[in-house]
Amino acid sequence: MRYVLRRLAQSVIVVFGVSIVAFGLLFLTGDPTEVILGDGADRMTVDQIQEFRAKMGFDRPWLVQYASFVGKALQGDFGYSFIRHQPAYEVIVDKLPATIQLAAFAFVLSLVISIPLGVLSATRPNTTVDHAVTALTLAGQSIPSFWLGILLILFFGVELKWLPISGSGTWKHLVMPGITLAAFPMARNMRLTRSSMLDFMQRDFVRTARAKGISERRVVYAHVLRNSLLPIVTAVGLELGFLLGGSVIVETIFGWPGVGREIVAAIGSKDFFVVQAGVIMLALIFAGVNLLIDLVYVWVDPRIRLGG
Amino acid sequence: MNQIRLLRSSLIALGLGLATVAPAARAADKPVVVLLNAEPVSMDPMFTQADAHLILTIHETLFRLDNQGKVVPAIAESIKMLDPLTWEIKIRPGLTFHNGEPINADAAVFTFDRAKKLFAEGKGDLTFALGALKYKTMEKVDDLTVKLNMSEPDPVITAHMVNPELSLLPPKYYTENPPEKVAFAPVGAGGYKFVSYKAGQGVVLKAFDKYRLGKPPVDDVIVKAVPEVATRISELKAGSADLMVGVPADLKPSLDKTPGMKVIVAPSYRRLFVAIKQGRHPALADVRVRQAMNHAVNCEEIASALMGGMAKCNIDLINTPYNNPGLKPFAYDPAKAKALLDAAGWVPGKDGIRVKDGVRLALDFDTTNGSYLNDKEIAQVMADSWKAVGIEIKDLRVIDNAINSQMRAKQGAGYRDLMNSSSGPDYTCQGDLLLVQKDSGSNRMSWVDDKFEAMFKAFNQEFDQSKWQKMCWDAEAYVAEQAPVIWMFTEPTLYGVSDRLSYEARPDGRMYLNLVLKGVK
Repeated sequence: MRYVLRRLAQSVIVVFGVSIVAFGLLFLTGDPTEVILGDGADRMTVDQIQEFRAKMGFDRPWLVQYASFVGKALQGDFGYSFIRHQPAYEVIVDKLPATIQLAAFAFVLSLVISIPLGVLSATRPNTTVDHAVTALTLAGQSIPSFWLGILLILFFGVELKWLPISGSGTWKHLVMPGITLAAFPMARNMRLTRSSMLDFMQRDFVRTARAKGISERRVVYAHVLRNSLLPIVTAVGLELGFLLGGSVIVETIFGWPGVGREIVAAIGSKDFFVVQAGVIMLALIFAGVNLLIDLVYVWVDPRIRLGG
Repeated sequence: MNQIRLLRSSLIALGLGLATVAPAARAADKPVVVLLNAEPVSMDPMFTQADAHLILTIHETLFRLDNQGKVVPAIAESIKMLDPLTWEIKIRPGLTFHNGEPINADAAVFTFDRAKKLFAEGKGDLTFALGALKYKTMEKVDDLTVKLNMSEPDPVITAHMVNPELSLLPPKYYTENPPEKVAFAPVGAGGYKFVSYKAGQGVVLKAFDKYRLGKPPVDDVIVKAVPEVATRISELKAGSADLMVGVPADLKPSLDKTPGMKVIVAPSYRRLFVAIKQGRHPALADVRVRQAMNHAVNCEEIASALMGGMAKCNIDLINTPYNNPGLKPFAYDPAKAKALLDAAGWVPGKDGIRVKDGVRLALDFDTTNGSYLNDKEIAQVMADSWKAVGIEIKDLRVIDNAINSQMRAKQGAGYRDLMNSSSGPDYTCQGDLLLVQKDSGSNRMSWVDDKFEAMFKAFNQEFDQSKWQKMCWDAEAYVAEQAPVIWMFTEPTLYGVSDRLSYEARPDGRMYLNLVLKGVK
């Protein structure tokens, strides 16, 4: 119980820290009044600009503004989007299904490809297959998602014209953003599966299983893979947060109408309350998923609970 | 071995699966796809300023801007001033909205009342439109005549009615349906009827056959949001889109060689200049010094070498079509610049930098990096040009956009001596002159000139439109000569257009799709 409470407290601290950063964003970009008004300020007098500043509450000390921001956020009030004319919270929630759809597709894709390839590589060490998988892992972890996305667009969209370049609506629209988003976790899981499998394959219980005459397929899948799954499960759980947060760039490149694209659009249109709501909601999801994984991990492996 | 076989089979299956997605053949009846950079905020004209392209396409105002940027009657047939606070507007007969409701005085009164009510309740995005058009009420006179009662005299009233926020709305539809429905299922009187909208799939539009200017030449249009410019360009290259705005200038040479598309360069209303801040260095208060700084810069060479020949040097205080065509930019003439500085008492010191009463003519120059095409490089060239006539840029600082917006606040209170800057469009000469008017938020130079203020005041109170051109040109000529800024050029806008589409770019950069899409092959 103490472990659970401690992890819960840590999550609250993380979200609190993110709230400070999200609030600070408003001021890091300069005078928020001038930034929000943009060219509109060109047609206003200095007095009108000052009036707008007072109306938005930007003339108050920043500590007062922060306290007001946190107080309202705790009640689910992240302010009003002056671009979309609806509560900032609703703007983000409306876009959440599309982001979850993309993240879920990428999540499944990364698992379906990475674990079989990791097993394949581990069961054939130092062969061409192993080298190919290792090269793929290296590429997946080192290629930036925006670059991979553009490469896919140029190849499958512009040259071959097989897949739609942007937007949503059909399964075909999911393919390129899904691959782009899944590339990094896919590579990481492949590497993790391979190394974990290789580690367990040297263990005594595997040698014993082989000595007992159990088929190699059963040794690999029933004994080695099952035991190797514990670190993979942890990494895979953390990926959910990564996939939701990492979709910001991918959604923008592929015009996918999710939370990430909304945040980028809100930054462009200086709709700061939407940016703040989006950042804090993603942080909440990330912290929530991490907390859940930690709790599941404790349940799966009691050594952590006892150690804690 | 089994796993390898499985992997191989999977890859083959994936390849075959993708291969079945055959590219669709191009046809003239394929909808024209227009790419914008953001999903619409709303298609209710009173709730968005960000979606002007769409609003102007679906809706229609009493007055609007033609393809040359001039204010012309649209739904209004004529306007007459009854007294400085009362105007009578006649509506064209026989017009209907997309849903068949008649366009008449009731519709106009409903629209103007709705705007007033929303504005009073703090709803909608009407600050700009109702800040410009200061009316009290609109009254019905007869079925096709309304009376607009103003709260203050407004000589440029028609220009203030072109704002898309004041597009006429069908009263029955907008009364019977809730705001959240009409926001994404609009009914208007523009060239295109709304068909459907879904984020990620775009807004589907159909040509309105009863449009007051006749059915638009392109039948079907999809307006789609693609935020990333590289993706928009890829859509054009792939042939899956027909029109995009904001092609990066440095990509023009390579895109010009891409088969199936072209890049159209058109002027925009965004004026680029270097602001000269008053109150820091004493030399800058002297008109001769400011003129010398203009003469010392070779704008034509900058336009040619750094803007790819796409910008034209001019006195860009007033946008077309109201600007003074007789006004010539300051000629590149270093000798004249030196003579003006000599006459102002700034004489070369030992190191060539000019001095007066022990004060060096050494200035601070801030420049953005990437806000405009080659802005940092242009600033460096200008610094070198000024040094050649004895003006030192002692600190050329590159600042980012965020800091720039901070510095622009409070009439450029954070500005140092020089700052490259820009200003957006207006539809009137009076509006453009605000750039240098003492109370305006856009006057970031803190430049105050009594003679100009008198000219501006007189111009703003003049109702006789026949006098406007001379007043505008006189004011522009006076300000040009006073050189409160280093005059540069208007920023060009680049459109990517598919070969099958015939497109006419407008000088104001706006895409009234019914006016700019001229046909499709």
